[in-house]
Amino acid sequence: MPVYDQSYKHWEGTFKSHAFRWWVITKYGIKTAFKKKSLKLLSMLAVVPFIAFAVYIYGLTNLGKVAFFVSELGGHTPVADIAAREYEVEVQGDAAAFVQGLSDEGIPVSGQGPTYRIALPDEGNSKLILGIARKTGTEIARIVPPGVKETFYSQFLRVESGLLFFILVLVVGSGLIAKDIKFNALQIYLAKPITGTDYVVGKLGVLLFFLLMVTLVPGIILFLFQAILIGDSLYFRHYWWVPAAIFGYSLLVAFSASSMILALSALSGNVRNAAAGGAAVFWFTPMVGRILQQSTRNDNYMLVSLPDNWTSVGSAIFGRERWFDVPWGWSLLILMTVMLLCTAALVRRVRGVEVVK
Amino acid sequence: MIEIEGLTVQYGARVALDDVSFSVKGPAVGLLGPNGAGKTTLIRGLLGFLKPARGRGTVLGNSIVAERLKVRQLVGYLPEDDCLIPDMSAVRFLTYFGELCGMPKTDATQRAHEVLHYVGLGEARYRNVETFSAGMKQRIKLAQALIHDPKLLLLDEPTNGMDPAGREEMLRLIGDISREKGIGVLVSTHLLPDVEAVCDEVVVLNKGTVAVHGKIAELQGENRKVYEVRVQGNRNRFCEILVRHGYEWKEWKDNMIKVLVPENEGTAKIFAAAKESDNQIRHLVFEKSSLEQVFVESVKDRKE
Repeated sequence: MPVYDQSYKHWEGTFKSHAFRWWVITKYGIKTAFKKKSLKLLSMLAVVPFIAFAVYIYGLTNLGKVAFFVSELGGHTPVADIAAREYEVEVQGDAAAFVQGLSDEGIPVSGQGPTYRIALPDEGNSKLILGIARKTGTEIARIVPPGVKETFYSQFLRVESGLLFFILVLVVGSGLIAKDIKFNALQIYLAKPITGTDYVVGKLGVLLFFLLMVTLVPGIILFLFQAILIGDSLYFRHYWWVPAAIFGYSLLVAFSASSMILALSALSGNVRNAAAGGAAVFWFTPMVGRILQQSTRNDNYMLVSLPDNWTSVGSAIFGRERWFDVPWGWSLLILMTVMLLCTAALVRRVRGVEVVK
Repeated sequence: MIEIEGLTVQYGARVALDDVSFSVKGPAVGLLGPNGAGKTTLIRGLLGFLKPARGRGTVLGNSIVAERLKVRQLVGYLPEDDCLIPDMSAVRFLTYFGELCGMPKTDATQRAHEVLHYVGLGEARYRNVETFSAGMKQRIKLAQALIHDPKLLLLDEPTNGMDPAGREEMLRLIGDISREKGIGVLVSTHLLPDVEAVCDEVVVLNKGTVAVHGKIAELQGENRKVYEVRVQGNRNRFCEILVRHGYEWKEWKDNMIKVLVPENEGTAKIFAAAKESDNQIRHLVFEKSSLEQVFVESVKDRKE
């Protein structure tokens, strides 16, 4: 049997392109992070709000079914309870024929006009309403599909970017660069054919993976879940911007949190210090902002709080009321400035050699 | 292999490398110098970690400033400090860096096993790197430098912290890499025997400048013999006559001088010079010049 040659052999292969070297860092970072028991536990806990919101959506849909079932038994349909199947329709001109048409089809309708609330049975969708409107010669000015509204997703993302999100940021992010600095690994990384940008993007990718897994991914899944339950393409057409809003808000929150904790990790070079700094930003700044705001009755002080700035911008993205009495643009400007400063700190710290002048 | 022209590197106001110029072909080059001479700075400059204030340099034909990534693709680097990533087995550590160099995962994994066997860590390849001894850490650093099959290795103090047996094995590996595997090696060290063991060319740095550069054989005086001589009488006259005979001489310790004699000549002219200058020869010892003496003298010259 030939003995395997264990001496040095040259490699004859071809190197891959440079474009995705950062992905190697992200891939290994994710695998390494998943080795932590605390992270496994956090991942499981992070699923809980998602399940709760999904059950809520499912429950609303089934409430509709229950309501119809009750209405058939009792001869009365409590429209207000049929949240998941309730369409809001605004008609132009005389709506009497339209209302009559709906009644002829046995479809419960409420409202005084020109806006009506129409509760369809399970198999019905907007096409049925539009068909009746066409038949009765009624022009529909606006039709709003049933289901939870955009504020629901805003609320969901606020919950998801709360306590667990912060803990996740601290557990995953605080050691990402600090450990490499502590163990002098930066010079090996940067002696390989990668740039400092590849390194930072790779590390950022690790954090973004985990943070988007608890914000963007469940948000989009909930939206799709709701759409499937409604079973009406009108839902997509009416709420097309909601996935974009979920995407935008999730990215803003994940990017700003990631760049901040990575900068702290790089600047401190120590996992505990980076975690303490991160905790101070996440928990201390809202406290300071709230105290200053309460004592001076000036909402401008809320701008010092990173989480409140997220909520302020999030409220604007999802069309909700202002979070505090300062234009959301200021919050966005502050978040962008924080990200810019953090990037500058990372560029300065991520080097093959630390130059002490 | 490496060409440097007028390279100046500064840390703020402090000049670490001052107008350094040399060209080395390899395959094995020693970079000698006392602590703070600029050896590590030079290596970091070659890798593009430091931006030169002036001058230019190429490694394997690629600019150290404009083509840093190309240089790093062709070069393997063994840093002086302990460098590792905790919670990673040796195989995973090497596979990771192989992939970072652009190798496909399967190739990187296979090569990680091969390289670990080559450096003598085959049995420890599934152990986490942070549990390695100092010697094993040096080996794993060599392995990560070799993972992408570089054309040139930059080794910064490769035998640092190793026991004698480990050091010998490391030098054997470096010698094998440069002589048998066709990979150029630049060994930065302050340990002269290491350079003598594996290198055929040396650059001596002192205070950020090149003190000596040349083939080791030539520097050691392979084509010249060295005699330690002490005379009693008129020593200046004796030295003048030596020069007239075409011999070089240098001051040495204990009132002795070193006389450099061509390979094909004996001591006849030394005795003749002593006789002519009316000196008694009290001490005459043949000595082959060692690299240590070249080093010490070059560094001393600069200090003076």
